[in-house]
Amino acid sequence: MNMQQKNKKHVLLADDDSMTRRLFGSKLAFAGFEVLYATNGDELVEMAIRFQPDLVVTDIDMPNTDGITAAYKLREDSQTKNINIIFLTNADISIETEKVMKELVGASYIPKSIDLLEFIEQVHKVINQ
Amino acid sequence: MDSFIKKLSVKTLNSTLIFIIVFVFLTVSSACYYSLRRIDTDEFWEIHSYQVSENINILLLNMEDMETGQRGYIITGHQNFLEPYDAGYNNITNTFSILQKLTIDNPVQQNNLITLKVLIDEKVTELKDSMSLRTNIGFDAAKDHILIGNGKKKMDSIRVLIAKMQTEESRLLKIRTEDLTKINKITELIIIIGSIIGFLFYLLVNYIINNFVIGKIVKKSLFDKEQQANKELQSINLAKDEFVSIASHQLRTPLTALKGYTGMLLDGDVGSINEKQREYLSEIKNANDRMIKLITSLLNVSRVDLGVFTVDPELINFEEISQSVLKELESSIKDKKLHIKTNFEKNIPLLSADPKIVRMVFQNLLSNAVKYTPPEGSISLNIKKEYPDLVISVKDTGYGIPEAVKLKIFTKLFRSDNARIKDPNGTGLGLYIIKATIEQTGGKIWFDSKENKGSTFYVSIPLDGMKKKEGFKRLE
Repeated sequence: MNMQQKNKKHVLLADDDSMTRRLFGSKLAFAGFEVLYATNGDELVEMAIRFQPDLVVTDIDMPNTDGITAAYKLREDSQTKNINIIFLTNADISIETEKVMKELVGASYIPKSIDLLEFIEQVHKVINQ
Repeated sequence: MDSFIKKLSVKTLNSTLIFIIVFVFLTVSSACYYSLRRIDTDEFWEIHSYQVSENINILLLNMEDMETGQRGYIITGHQNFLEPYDAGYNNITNTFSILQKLTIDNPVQQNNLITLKVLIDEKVTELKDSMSLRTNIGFDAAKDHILIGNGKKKMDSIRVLIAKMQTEESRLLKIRTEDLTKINKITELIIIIGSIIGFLFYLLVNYIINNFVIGKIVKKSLFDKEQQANKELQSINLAKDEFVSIASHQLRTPLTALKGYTGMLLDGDVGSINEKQREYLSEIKNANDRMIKLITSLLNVSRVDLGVFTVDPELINFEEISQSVLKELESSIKDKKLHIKTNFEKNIPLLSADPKIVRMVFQNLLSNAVKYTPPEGSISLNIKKEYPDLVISVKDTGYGIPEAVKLKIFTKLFRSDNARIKDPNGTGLGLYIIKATIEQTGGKIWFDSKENKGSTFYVSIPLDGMKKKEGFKRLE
């Protein structure tokens, strides 16, 4: 592994929709990140424990285990409790879910409709916290 | 009568009517019962009178039988002719005591009986004497005794007294008969009147039920039907909202992808692009932006229609928000060389309001002003206090709103023709959304406009602030 690869930050991206995965994944890749993919909450937790990414970017509404439940699981595990999380939300989010996300430690949320440059800005901000 | 009946509940009306019916029924029944008892009594007394009369006659007959026996014996001297005498004599005591019992209630007849007894005893003595003479002496002695006339006199007196007693009984009978007839007539009357009242009452109850109670029942069933229809309407609205939400959801993802990739291409992420490519990609991006805007608006419309949006007031600075929105519109303003003037009254307080909603209001009013004002035109933004509200006004020197369509300006999806010419991209939902939102948070929105001169839109928000409102979704 060359120096560039070693210095690359790893982002674990979880979404059940492949279109969304490819879109955000592409942008992250172009922005210089190493991207790992998960398609549901269980995979997310498993991969987070295995690969210890620098950041988790996850959708909420996923089959089996949803994003928020997965996030709680990450917080419970000592290996993953300090990983920053960004929730990718459909703008049609309910107030309830918003509250939960706010209360989750080290988590923030951004809408999927966000401008991609802005998205990368946010990612940089959070990953460097 | 109408309003009185309306105030009664159906239950009370029912109970009252039943009570009245039972009451009338009991009254008529009691009257009939009383009459029947009286009739019974009177009949008893009537029969009684007949009995007395009959026994008085029997008494006379007994006396005559005794006379007949006496006569027969005196003429023939034979014992067997005494049969009638014996028969009569045996009966008299019995008959007499019957009469005494029967007339115990009547002091007049009792007195008569006493006198009668005396007379009868005397007559019987006379009869015995005459017969004794015939037995002991002979026919002529008996005949002479009879000729004296005492017997006849006694008998005449008896007949007179008996006649008197009969008269008395007749009198009583007459009275009692009259009484009975009267009672019968009264009973008849009671039954007839009772029946008539009952029938009239039945008609009245019928009338009331048909005109008021049925009305109430029909009203209640109509009311229930209305409730049912409302419930159905609500569930249809809910289904509509869910559909809009799901559809928008599903549409969002591909639209986001479109936006993203177009953006990346335009940003040169995958290589540089030529002018033509840039131009076409920009077209795609604009078309995509329009679709995204429409979906966002549709979602807001459905939230606003059902009133499910949240109002989360915070203390906000209206000036700052308006300035930030103007900044967003900077490039369009520059392109059109529009003159912007802001007029903020001194000491405008921080207001408790939902920042998203306030931002939406400024965005809508200011972007409309920018869109519909020709180049070199001017727009002025005022914020001032007008108790009890804070009033925002956006005035432009734009195309104005034609008279004919002023009433439709705030309606869903409406766009006036001159607006459509100037900006074909509008959704026609912006004003509808902010009007509904503002009005549901205690504010007002209105406008002045003259075609080709310009428009001024006003929004008032209570200085007390917007009330917090729990909802399911935020507006976007």
